[in-house]
Amino acid sequence: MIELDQVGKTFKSGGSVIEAVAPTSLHIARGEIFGIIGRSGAGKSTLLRLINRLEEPSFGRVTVDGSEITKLRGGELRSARRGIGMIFQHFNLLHNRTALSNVSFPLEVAGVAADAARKRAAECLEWAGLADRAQSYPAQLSGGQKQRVAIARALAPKPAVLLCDEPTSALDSQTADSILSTLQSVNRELGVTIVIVTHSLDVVHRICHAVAVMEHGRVVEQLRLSDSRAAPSTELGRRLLDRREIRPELHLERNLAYV
Amino acid sequence: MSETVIDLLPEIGVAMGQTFLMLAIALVAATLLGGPLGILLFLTGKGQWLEQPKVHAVLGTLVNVVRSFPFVILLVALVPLTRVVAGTTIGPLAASVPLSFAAIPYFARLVEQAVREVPHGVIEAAQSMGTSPLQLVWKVLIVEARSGLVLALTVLAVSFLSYSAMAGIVGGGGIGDLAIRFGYYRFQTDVMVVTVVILVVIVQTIQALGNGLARRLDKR
Repeated sequence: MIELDQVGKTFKSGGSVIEAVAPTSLHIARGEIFGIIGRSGAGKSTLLRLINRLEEPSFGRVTVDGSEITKLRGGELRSARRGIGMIFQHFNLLHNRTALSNVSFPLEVAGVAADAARKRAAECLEWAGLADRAQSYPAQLSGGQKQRVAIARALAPKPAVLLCDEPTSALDSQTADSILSTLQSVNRELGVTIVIVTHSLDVVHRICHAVAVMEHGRVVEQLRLSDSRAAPSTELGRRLLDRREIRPELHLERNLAYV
Repeated sequence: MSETVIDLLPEIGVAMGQTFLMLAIALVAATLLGGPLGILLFLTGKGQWLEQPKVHAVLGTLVNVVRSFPFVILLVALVPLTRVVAGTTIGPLAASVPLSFAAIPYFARLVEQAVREVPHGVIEAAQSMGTSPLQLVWKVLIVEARSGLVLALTVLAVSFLSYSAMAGIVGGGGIGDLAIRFGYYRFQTDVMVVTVVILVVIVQTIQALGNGLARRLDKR
């Protein structure tokens, strides 16, 4: 679904060249929830932004759903972006628009007629469980509600891919948990491929199928969480697999098996 | 009310009309030309979508140069331009030319500042949804910064109300001119007081309207 081929980002600072993301190759399969984990400053957000070119790659190729993103120009890139939703740590809603109007924004921008856009937006808001807050402004919503509006907004144009940049880091743990459940339904019910950047092992545990560990702008390890024979070489990788046993879902399945 | 003031009442009425005419022309010119200039200054700035260091530097310098001129000097220096644009060099219409000329870069800076208040993340989110630069301006920057833009226009209106007093030098007329001609040159203190009171009332009204509108538009 998403193919990164030796993609990277460098930028000049003063006289020296800084490598934010070293040449990276990744394959993210259709229908997967793929995590990118690392400490702050490891380059994981930059890597995520290379996928929809919010950061312009310095080199390499990005292919999403068969179309080579790195080759597109102007209008082509804009229409490709409509097939790639994105949500953020700080939600980034439009403050002077209501929840409903936020969700219809990407449709308006794509030239969808106002009526159809409003209808689709209402549908998405309802899916996100916020039908009753359609006329509220972001300032009147809680953090969790804002992120739900953001998810509804990202889903409105029916994207094949959803990019998530630390989507739960600004939320308390309970709210974060419910957002993760929502993302899981986005993946399962709507078949959307998800890439999620996080610094939290819990997030990876809870919802990811596969994960890339980043350090100093490099992907130092890739793991599949279902792979019982994996022998992680990094500290983060080991901690991820060690904690696999306490994955709550697995507990639940085990308990059900005994009932 | 003293007799001199009563005698001057019709003239005060005419002067108010002239002031509003000059102000209206300058504000419209500033909005139509200074607004886009301010947006362009923002968008070509460092780290912004249409980052263009050279264009940004040229526009920025142009704005600074015009803003460096004391308005009285601009008023005189622009006489040739005024003759071409307004067809005359005296009267409120003629005075509107240098007023507009000064208001455009002034408003451009205010707009640039107001638009900077839009969080970068919001702009990024809009980009991620496939927004074109023009859509970003109309649907994101202007809408998200609208209360700041109203306040910018309010500041502009108040500043240029006071600038318009200098229009008397080219026979522009207006309330401020009346204050100078009668109140100052002829030592008619009562006229001075009345005109200043009128100006205070106008400023208060503009500011109150601006604040009220800005508050209503702000949903943050």
